[in-house]
Amino acid sequence: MIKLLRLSATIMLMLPIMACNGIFADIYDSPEDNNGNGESEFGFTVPCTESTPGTIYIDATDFLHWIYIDFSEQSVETLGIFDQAPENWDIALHHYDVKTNGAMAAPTTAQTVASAIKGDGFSVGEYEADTWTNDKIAVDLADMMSGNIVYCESWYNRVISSWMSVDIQIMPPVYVHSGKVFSVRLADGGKVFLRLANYVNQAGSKGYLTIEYQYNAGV
Amino acid sequence: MKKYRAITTVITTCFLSMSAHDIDPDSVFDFSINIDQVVVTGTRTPKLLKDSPILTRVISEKDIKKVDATNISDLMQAELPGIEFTYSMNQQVSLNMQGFSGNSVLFLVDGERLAGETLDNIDYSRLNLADVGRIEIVKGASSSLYGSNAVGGVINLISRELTKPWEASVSARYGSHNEQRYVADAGFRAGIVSSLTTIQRTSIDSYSFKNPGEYNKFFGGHTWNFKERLSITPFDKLKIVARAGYFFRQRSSSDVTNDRYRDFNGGLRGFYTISPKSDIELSYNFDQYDKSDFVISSSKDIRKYSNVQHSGRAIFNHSFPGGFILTAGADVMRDYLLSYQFSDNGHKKQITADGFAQLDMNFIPRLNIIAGLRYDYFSMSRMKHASSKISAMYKLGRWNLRGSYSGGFRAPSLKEMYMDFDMASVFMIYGNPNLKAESSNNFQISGEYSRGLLNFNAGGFFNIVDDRITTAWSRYLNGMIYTNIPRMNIVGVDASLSWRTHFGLGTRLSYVYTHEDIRKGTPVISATRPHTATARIDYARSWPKYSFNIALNARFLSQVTADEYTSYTDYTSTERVTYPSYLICKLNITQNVWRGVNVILSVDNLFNYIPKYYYNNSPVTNGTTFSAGLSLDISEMCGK
Repeated sequence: MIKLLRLSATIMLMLPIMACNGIFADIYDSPEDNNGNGESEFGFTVPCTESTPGTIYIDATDFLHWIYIDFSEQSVETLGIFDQAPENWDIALHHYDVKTNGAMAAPTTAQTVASAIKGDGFSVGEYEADTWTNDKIAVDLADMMSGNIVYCESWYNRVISSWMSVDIQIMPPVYVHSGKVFSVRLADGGKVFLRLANYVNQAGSKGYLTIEYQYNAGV
Repeated sequence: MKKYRAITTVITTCFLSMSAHDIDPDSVFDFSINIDQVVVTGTRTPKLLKDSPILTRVISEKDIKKVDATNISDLMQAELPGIEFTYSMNQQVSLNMQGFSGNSVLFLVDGERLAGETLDNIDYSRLNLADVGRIEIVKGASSSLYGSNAVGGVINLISRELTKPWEASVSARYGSHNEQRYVADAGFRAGIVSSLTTIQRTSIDSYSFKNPGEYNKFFGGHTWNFKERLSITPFDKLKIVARAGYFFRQRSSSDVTNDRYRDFNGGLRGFYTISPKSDIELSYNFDQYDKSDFVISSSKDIRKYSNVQHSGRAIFNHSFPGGFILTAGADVMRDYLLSYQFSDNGHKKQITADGFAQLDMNFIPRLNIIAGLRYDYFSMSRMKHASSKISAMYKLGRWNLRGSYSGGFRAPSLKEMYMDFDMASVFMIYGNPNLKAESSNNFQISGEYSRGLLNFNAGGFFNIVDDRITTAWSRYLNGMIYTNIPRMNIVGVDASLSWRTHFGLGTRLSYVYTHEDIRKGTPVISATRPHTATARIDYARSWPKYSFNIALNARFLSQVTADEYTSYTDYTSTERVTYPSYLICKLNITQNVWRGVNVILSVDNLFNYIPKYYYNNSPVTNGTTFSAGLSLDISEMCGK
C-alpha cells in the first residue's frame, strides 16, 4: 500500500512538469495542406481521360482574385480581380462565383462526373449564358457589418455558381453545397462536365476548391 | 374529526405497510424525506442544509432519476426556474441564470473548476449525470470562496459514494430521433480501497425543424464519457481520492467537417484529520479540454484549441470553542490556452493565485453568521481583486431567516484579453488587455418555513453588476473588441413550495421573477424572461415485488420583449422583438418489475409544443417525443 501511495504521489508530482501544456498532442493530425513533400499542389492535379474524370484543385480564398482555367492547355492562372484576363481561358472562379469565356452551362441530374461520362440516364436542364452583374462579385467585406458590401461589375454564370450557396448575413456563414454536375458548352465547341467535389483543404479551411471535370475538345 | 383521523391513520398505516420492505433511499420509489441533507458548496465545509446560512438548492440523485435527464441542461431547466439554456452562434449552448450568462456562473465537479469554453460557456455535455450523487446550487455571488466567475452563482456536481460492498449496473434508453443512451458502472469496497467506474455513451441523429427560424436543423452527434474514482483510507485519519476521466463529443455541424471535443482530467486529493478539531485537505487537479475539426474528406483531425489547467489547493479547518469554525485556504493554478482565435494559432499562459479565509460563528444558539474574505491575483494582467461575504441565519420557531451580502467578480480571460480572430473574412474580433474585472455586489434575503413534510421558501435578490465584459463594435478598428460596459442591476424574487405525504404523493412548485435594468445604448440588451416557473407532481407506490413512480415535470417560461439593435455596428436604433412564452411538460413512469430491474417510459413535450419560428431561445423541439429505457442493477439482482 505504501508503494502504491508513493507511486501515485510521484505520478501526480510529475504530471504538472511533464504535461505543462497538455497531453496526447500526437493524437491529432498536422494542419498542413500538402501532398506529402510539404508543398500544396494546385492546378490540374489529376488530368482527365476520355473515360475517367480529372481533378482541379485551386485556392479561391482571396476575394481579390480571379482564377482562370484553360481546359485545352490544362492551365490555371491566378490574376488580380481588375487585371486583364489572359488570352485563352474557358472558365474563371472568384471564391465560389464563376464566369465563362462565352460558354453556356446547364445543370444535370447526374450524381457524379463519372456517371455523366458514361451517359447513365441523366437529364440536362436549360443552357444559360453569362449575365452582367453588379451585385454578385464581392471584393470588400470590411464594412459588411454596417450593411455595405463593395461589389465589382463582371460577367457571371448563374448556373455554375449555384454549385455553392453562401449566406454571409449570419455568423458563421452558412454553406450549402449542391453537389450537382454541370454540363458546359465552351465557345470553341468543347464540352465539359463540372462538379464541385469539395470546398475545404485537408485542414478543413474553406475556399480551397476541388473540382471534378471531364473535357472533350471541340471539333 | 376523530373519525376522520382514524381513517387517515388506517390509510397511512396501510400505505406504509406496503412499503415496509427495504427500498434504496436514492431510488425513485422511496418517498421518505431527508431532513439531514449535508451540503458543502456554500461554506466549503460539511453543513446540514437546514443549518446553513447560505441558501443552497439541492438536486438529489432521486430528483435526477425522476427527470430521467441525460444532460445538465434538461435537468436544471426541469428543476429550477430562472434557468434557460439557449443557442448562441452556430448552435453552441448558452446559459442564462437569472440574468447571468454562462461565464458568470461557476460550474464545479467535486469542487474543481472545468477547463475550456465555447462562446463563454463550458461544455455542458461534459457533465455526466450517471455518477452524480447530488447537485448543489448556490445562487448569488460566491467569489469570497471560489474566486473568479462566481458572480451569479455556483453549481457543484458531487459524485455519488458507494453504499454497498459492491455494485454493478447497466442501463439503456432509446427515444425519438434515434436518441440512445447506454450507461454501465461498477464499484467495490474492499478493506481500505473503494472504486467506482462509470462509462456512458449517448447519441442522437441530426434532424430538421418543422418551421423556419434562426436555425433550421438540429446537429446530431455522439458522446463518450468515462470516469474512475478510487478511494484509499490507509488509516482512520487519512483518506486519499484519486480520479481520472475522459470525455469525447462529436457534432455533425456541416457536410465537410465534424466538430470534436475532448477532455482529459485527473486529480489526487488527500484529507487528513489532524485532531478532532482540525483537518486539512490537499489536492491537485489536471484538466485539459481540446477542440478539433475532423475533416471528412481527408480524415484529418486538426486540433484548434486546447485549454490546460493545473491547479493545487490547500484548505484547513479548525473548530474553536463556542462553535466557531475557521476555514482558510489557498489555490494556485497554471492556465494554458492554445487557440485558433489567437494570432497565428498561438498560445498564452498565466498563473493565478489566491488566499481565502472564512469564519463560521454561532454567537447565540439561534444565530449563525459566516464571514469570508478572499484575495486573487492574475499574473498576465497583474490584476488583484478582493472579495468579501457576510451571511446570517436566524431561527425563529419553524422559520429560518437568512440575509447575506456577497461580492462576486470575473477576471478577464486569456481569450478576452488576447483574441485576434478573423471572423469568416468579414470582420475581426480583438481582445483587450486593459479590461477591468467584472464585479457584482449581491444582496439576498429569504425566509424558509418547514413543518413536517412541508417546506416553503421565499426571498428576494438584488445584484449591482459593474464592468460586465462583452464585445462591442469599434468604429476605429472597424471590428469587434472586448470591452467593459457601465453598471447594470438585476433584481428579483423567488419562491418555492414542496410538500410530500407519507403515502407517496409529492409536489414541488418554484417560481422566479427577474428584472434586468440595463442602460440604453450599451452593447448588451436584456432578453431574460421575467417570469419562470417549474413544477413537479409525483406519486410512488411500492410492494415487495413491484414498485412504480410516476412523475410529471413542467417548466414555464414567460414571453419576453427585447429592444434589439437594428445594426451590429451602432447602438442607437432599436426594434422591438417579442419572444413567445412556452410550457414544456414531461411525464416519466418508472417501474420496478423485478428485483433490480427497472423499466422507464417517458413522454417529453407532452402537449406537443412546436415553435412557429425557431429563435435562438426557443426550445429545441419538434413536438412530442417518446423514450423507453431499461436498467439492471446487477448487485440488487444478486440479492446484495
